[in-house]
Amino acid sequence: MPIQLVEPGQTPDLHDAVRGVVVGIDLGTTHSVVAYVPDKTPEVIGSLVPSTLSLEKEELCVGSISSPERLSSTKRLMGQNIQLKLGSHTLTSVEVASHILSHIRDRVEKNLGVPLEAAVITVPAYFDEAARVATKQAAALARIKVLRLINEPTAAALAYGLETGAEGLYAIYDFGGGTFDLSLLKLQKGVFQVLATGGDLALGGDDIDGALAKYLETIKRDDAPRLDRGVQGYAKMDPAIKSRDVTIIKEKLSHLDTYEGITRKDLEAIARPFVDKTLDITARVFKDASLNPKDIQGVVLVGGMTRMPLVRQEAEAFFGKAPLCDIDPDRAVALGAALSAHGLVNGSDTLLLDVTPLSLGLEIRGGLVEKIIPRNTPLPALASQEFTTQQDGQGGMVIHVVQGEREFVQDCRSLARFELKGLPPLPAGMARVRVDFAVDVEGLLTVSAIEKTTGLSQHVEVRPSSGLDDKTLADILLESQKYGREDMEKRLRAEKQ
Amino acid sequence: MFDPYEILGLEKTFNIDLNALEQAYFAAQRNTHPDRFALVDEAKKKAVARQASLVNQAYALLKNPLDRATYLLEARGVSLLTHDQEFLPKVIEWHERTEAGEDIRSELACEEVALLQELTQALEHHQDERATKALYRLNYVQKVRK
Repeated sequence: MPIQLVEPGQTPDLHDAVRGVVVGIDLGTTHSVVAYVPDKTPEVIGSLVPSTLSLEKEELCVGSISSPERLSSTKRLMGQNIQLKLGSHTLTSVEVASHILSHIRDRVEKNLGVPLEAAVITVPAYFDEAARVATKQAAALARIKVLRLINEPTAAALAYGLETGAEGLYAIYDFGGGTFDLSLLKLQKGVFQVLATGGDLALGGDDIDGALAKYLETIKRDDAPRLDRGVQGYAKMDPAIKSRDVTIIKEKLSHLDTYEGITRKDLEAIARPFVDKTLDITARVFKDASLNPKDIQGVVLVGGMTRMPLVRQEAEAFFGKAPLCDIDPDRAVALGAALSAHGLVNGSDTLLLDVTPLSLGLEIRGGLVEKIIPRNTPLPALASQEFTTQQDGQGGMVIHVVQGEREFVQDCRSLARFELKGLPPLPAGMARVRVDFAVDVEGLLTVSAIEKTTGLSQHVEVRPSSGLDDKTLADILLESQKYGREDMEKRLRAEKQ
Repeated sequence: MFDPYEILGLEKTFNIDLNALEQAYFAAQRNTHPDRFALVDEAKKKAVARQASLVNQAYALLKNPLDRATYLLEARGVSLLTHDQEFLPKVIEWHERTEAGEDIRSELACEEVALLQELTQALEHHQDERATKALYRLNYVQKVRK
C-alpha cells in the first residue's frame, strides 16, 4: 500500500473519515511501546523501543542502548527547561521525546503501510501540568495528532478490565523505570472510575540502578572482605558487563540467585528502601480514598520494576493477596492506550472517569495557598473562587496559579502568574473578582478571571505552559516539519530504489 | 441555578439510595463525558466539558449528606446557623476532656451517627429549624473528628 504524504497543516480532518491508523503510545522512561486495535483485541506493533537518543555517525538515532554518547531517561525532565547536550546538539526533553515519537510514527507507518492518523499518549498519573503540556508539545513536534493524554495506570486498568471482564475495586501498582503511580479504581459494567491516585515522579528502576552502581563502586574499592563470601568484586568483573548498564545485573538477578558475584540478597537490600517508598505512597492513596487494602478484589502489577521478585513479594504482603500478573507489565499500558484510541474514534460503551492527581490553587495573603480544586477531583472539573481588593482604589490584582499539596506557595509548582488590570476605583473589599478554574479530561488547566462588581467584566485566560514558549515551539515545529518532510522524501526515494 | 438533582435526574429528597445515585451519575456521564465527543470541534468540546463538569459537581455534592442537606435547605431559602448557643456547653465539655487527655473518639463517632439520624428525620418532616441545628452540630463534630 502506498504511503500517503500529508502536507503539514493539512492533516485530513478526523470528522471525514479516519484513513490511517489510530494508536496508543506508552512513552516510557526506559522503553516506549506502541499498540493498535486491528480488530477487537489490541496488539503491540513491533518490539519495545529503548527511550534513548544517541549520535551515530553524526546522525541522531533513537533506540540504541550501547552507544556511549546517548541521552536516556529524559522523561524525568519533561516540563523542565533544561538543555541537554548530545555531541554538538543541544536539546530539551521535549525535543528528545519528539524524536522518539517520530521514530515510533515511522515504525508504525512502515509496519502497517498506512499513515498514523492520531494517537492516545500515556503519561504518569502523577505528571503535573507542565509535564503534560510538554508531552503534547513533543507530539506536535513529531506531527502526531493527540486524541487525548491518558494516565498510565488508568490505561493499564482498561487493558486488564476489558481483557478479563473484572469487576470491583482494583489497585494498579505501576512501578516503571522512572516513576511510580498507584491508582485505585472501581470497575463495573464498562465503567472505569478512578477513586484516588498518587505517585512519585522520581521513584523508579533508574533510582535502584543508581544505588546499585554506587554499591558496585564500594566493592571495587574494598573487595577483600567480600572475597571470602565468594564475591569476585567489581574490579574483576567482565569489563564488557561493567561498561554496560547495571540494568543487566538487575535483570539477571530477577531469576538467578547470583550473577557475577552479586547476590540477589545484595540487590534486594539496595532496592528495599525504594520499594518501601512505593508502599508508603500506596498506603496514602488508600487513606485518601477511605479504603483499606483488604477491600480490594485484586492488585494489577504494571511496569518493568514489578518483575523483580522482591516487589511482587512486598506487594503480596501489603495487599494480603497474590498480585495479578496475567498481563505483560511492559505492554499493558500501550495496549490500554490503543483500546482508548480505538474507542475515541470508533465509539465505545466504555467510560473512563479519571481524577486530578495534584491540588490546584491560588496564592493568597502571606504566601499561602488556597486550594481551588483538591487532588482526586473527578475530571473534567470546574471551580470558582471570589476574591476582593485589600486596598482602597486598588487598580489591579495579581493572580498566581500553583499546583501541589503544600501550604506555602514556595513549596508548590508555579503554573502561571498574571495581573488583572483596570479594576474600578472602589473601597477595599468592594471589588469582586471571580477566578474560574477548568480542568479537562487530560488534566490540563485553563484559568480565567472576571471583575464583576460594576458589570464591566474583564476576562483573562491563561494556559500554563512548560519551558518552551509558543514562539520557540513554532520555530522548532517549522524546522521539524521541514526536515521531517525531507527525511520522509529521502526514505521514499530509498524505498523505491 | 445549579441544581444537582435536576442534573442527575433525581427526585429532590434528602434520602438517597447511593446505588441509584451512582447509576444516575454513570448514565449522565455516558451522555456528556468528553470522550464521547473526541471528534467534534473545539467550541462543542468546551460546552460538553462544561456539562460533564457539572455532572461531576452534582455527584460530589449529592454523595455527601452534609452538602446535600445544605443544598436542600438553601434551595428552600432557609438560612443556616452560624452559631448554636445550646450546643456550646457540649463543645466546651469535649474540649476540656480532650485537654485532660481523654480519648473521646468513639463518643464523637456515636454522636455523628445520632446527629445524622436527627438531620434525616428533621428534613423528612420538613422541620427546618431542627434540621439547621442538626446540620450545624454535625458539621462541627465532623470537623473535630478530622
